[in-house]
Amino acid sequence: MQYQLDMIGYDAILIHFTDADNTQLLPVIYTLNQQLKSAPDLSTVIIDIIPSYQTLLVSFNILNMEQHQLADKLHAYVKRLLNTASPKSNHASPSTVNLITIPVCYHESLAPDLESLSQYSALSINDIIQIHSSTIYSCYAIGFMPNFAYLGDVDKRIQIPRHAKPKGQVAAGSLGIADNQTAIYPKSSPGGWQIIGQSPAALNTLSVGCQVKFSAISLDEFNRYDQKADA
Amino acid sequence: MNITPAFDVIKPGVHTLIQDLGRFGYQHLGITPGGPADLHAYLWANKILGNDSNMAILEIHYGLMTLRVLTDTKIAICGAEFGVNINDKPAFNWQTHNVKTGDIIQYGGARTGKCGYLAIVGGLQTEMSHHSRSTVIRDELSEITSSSLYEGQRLPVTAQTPAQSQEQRAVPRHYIPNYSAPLTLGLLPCYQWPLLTSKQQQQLLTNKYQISPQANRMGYQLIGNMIADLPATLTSEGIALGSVQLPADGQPIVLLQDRQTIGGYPKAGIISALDCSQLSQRQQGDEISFKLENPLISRYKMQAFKHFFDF
Repeated sequence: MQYQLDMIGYDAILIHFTDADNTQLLPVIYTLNQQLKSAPDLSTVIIDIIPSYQTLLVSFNILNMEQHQLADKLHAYVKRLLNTASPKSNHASPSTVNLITIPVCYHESLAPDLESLSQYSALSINDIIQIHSSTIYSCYAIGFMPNFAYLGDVDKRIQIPRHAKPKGQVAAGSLGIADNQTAIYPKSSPGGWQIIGQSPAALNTLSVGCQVKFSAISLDEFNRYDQKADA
Repeated sequence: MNITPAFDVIKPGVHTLIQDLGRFGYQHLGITPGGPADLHAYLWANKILGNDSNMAILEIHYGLMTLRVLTDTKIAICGAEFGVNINDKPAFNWQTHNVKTGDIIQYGGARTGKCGYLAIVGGLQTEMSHHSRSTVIRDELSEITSSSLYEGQRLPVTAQTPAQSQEQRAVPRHYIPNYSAPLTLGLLPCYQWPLLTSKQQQQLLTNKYQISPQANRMGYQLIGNMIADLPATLTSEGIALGSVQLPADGQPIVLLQDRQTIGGYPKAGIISALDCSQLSQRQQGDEISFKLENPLISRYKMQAFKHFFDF
């Protein structure tokens, strides 16, 4: 597996994997993130780590370490990881760590774009719900807003591009699809994803590398859902 | 630690926020760091009061704020020039002032610069969220950290036992920036710089840019001769402070304190935190240009800055 370290200004380094697909990379990025966060020799050096599909952006305190010294250390961590775990082995896989089930109501009153997805995909609404809720997704990145988790991959049969123009306000909890990714809007926001349902649950437990499954609930269950129950 | 009311907000001003150094260690959850738009003026305000560098203070955008003082203490005023009065008497910028219970602090509109800082001995003691008091409205982390100042709000501070000396401290003249001066930002190219053609690179470095109306704590959009045929969007990755993004419309966006944590627009590089401070004091229509900067020089400057202000 190939990688490079890119100096970002004077107080950040981007660890960049360049030759593997995102599915192969996820366990590597997940494990590297965990190792760097708990590295005793870096605890006073690293300020933030932002993991994403192919990269980890490490920002650090320039008073506690020189950039080239940190680069040497990061090289050592990445090389050790790549030597001990082949990307396909289960050793580094987060799959056993965390499977989170999120309740979602796919009722048409909460899913303004489900009907058009049905036409676009030539599948019945029931088929779409069945396909969407039977897939296990991985969290590749978090961003856009707090706790907005990019989950993939969406089954090819129900992929659909985002709206050409973002819609006005998307309701908090809305479940969207954009191409091969699916995500829940943790709070109300302008957004362009195709909305196919809504979750009543609080979404502050997702992290890069965790796995997610959606379970379909009825409109009645949605309305009776107690947020405090999942705290 | 004893907490006592410091100010009653009579007029909240156009857009007044509470800022400490920012919210670090949460960007992996999509939580933006926030922190002072003008780090330089913010740090001076705390320093001349003898405060720790991370103490929470007011960041006042566009002015027009009025406060009633609720305790005998010392404040510092730094940053943009607003024409501040204490009990209808002009109070100089870039220095400390003693105030006592019942005093009225009144801000006019911005004359030069965009945001000013009002610090108080001991720092504001509003409730924290994720280890910071910084206001980031769109992150909605908690009520107090997601709302600008509002009328009737009461701001708490650490109670001070010893009486404040009458001696005032001021920022030395040569450290006071001129927010009206033309601004050239030092670009530290990143690994995506070679994705640009040499013509595109030259355009960025020679264009005269103006600040667009889309300029706030998230980022500043600059308008100039369009850079055509930029690389397509890349896979999203973490975004550092001061990143210079180049979206397909060919107009650069400099990302600041309240930036999104990840994004996929191509980037020319970053500008230093000190340049971000300067940029944040410039207003819509002001002229901006870029030059190539040596990363070593930026690093030495920043190291010296961090040592001086102890953070």
